[in-house]
Amino acid sequence: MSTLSKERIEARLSEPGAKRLVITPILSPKQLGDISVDLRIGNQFIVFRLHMGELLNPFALTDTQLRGLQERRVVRFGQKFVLHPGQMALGCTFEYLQIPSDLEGQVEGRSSWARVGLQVATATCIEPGFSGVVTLELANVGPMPLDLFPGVRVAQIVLRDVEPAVKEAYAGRRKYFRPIGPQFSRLTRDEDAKPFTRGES
Amino acid sequence: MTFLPTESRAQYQLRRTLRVVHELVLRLKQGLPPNETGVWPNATAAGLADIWNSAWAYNCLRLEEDPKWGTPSNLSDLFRLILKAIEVSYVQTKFGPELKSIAAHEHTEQGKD
Repeated sequence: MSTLSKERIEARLSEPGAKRLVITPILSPKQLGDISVDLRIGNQFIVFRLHMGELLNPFALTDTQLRGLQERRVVRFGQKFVLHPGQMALGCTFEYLQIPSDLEGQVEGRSSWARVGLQVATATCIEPGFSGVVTLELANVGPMPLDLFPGVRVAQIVLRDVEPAVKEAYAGRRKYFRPIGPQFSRLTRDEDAKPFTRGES
Repeated sequence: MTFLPTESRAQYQLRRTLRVVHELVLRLKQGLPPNETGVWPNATAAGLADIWNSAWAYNCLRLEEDPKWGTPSNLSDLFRLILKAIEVSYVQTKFGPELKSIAAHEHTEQGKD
């Protein structure tokens, strides 16, 4: 499984048909690195409502109850979202991605942001066939509040070949379908967690 | 004419509109937001009117192919892609030229080293 170089990324971005890699929009050629494409942060965020200080067992809640613990915020481009020390929030990429069936992507933070305390992604594997914006799990592990401006490059995606190409497309069989903003957790739909989470002694 | 926004002063050109909308409808069929025409590095941001037109044309096309098309789920998928296209088109139009200019300037400066 080899990592795509800049030359191959450029070729796949302009390739016609189903093998085309879509990352839209690429606002600046600066986004293309030697083995990665930088991704900008979008303007939607999901934050926990801090005043609800209960222990969180997501499997004891419904989707609606789980969503009730969080709220969605939209920030205008040109304005900022403040991430406080120790705070975790969900953000998303500004770019809309469509990954062909013979590639997979790994989303990682940019080291420049990591050096000021921002962790960007922890669930980073983007499967072949995925289509949509990527939800980013943002955390401020530094000592100072961080200003995050929608449109700024905070993450990068590294692309690798998948051999052989995946036959069944991602679309329609997964929990997160063509999202255009950060998605609330759908842990409660993990049916196979039930035997382990009933809480019987 | 001078009272109209600049982008509204241009003469309506059916041939141009048809070409652009056709391309945007193809994007919708591929599950992509219709925010631009062409492919990187020669992509051009789509205008709001073209995005709306593509949504309407796609809707008509799908109904022609399948009279049952138009369920809340179908329309929700379409609206999400259109909303994303409008957002991206706005940002591309507002910030894109300056970002390209910055990148070109940096490229020139590096060339001098």
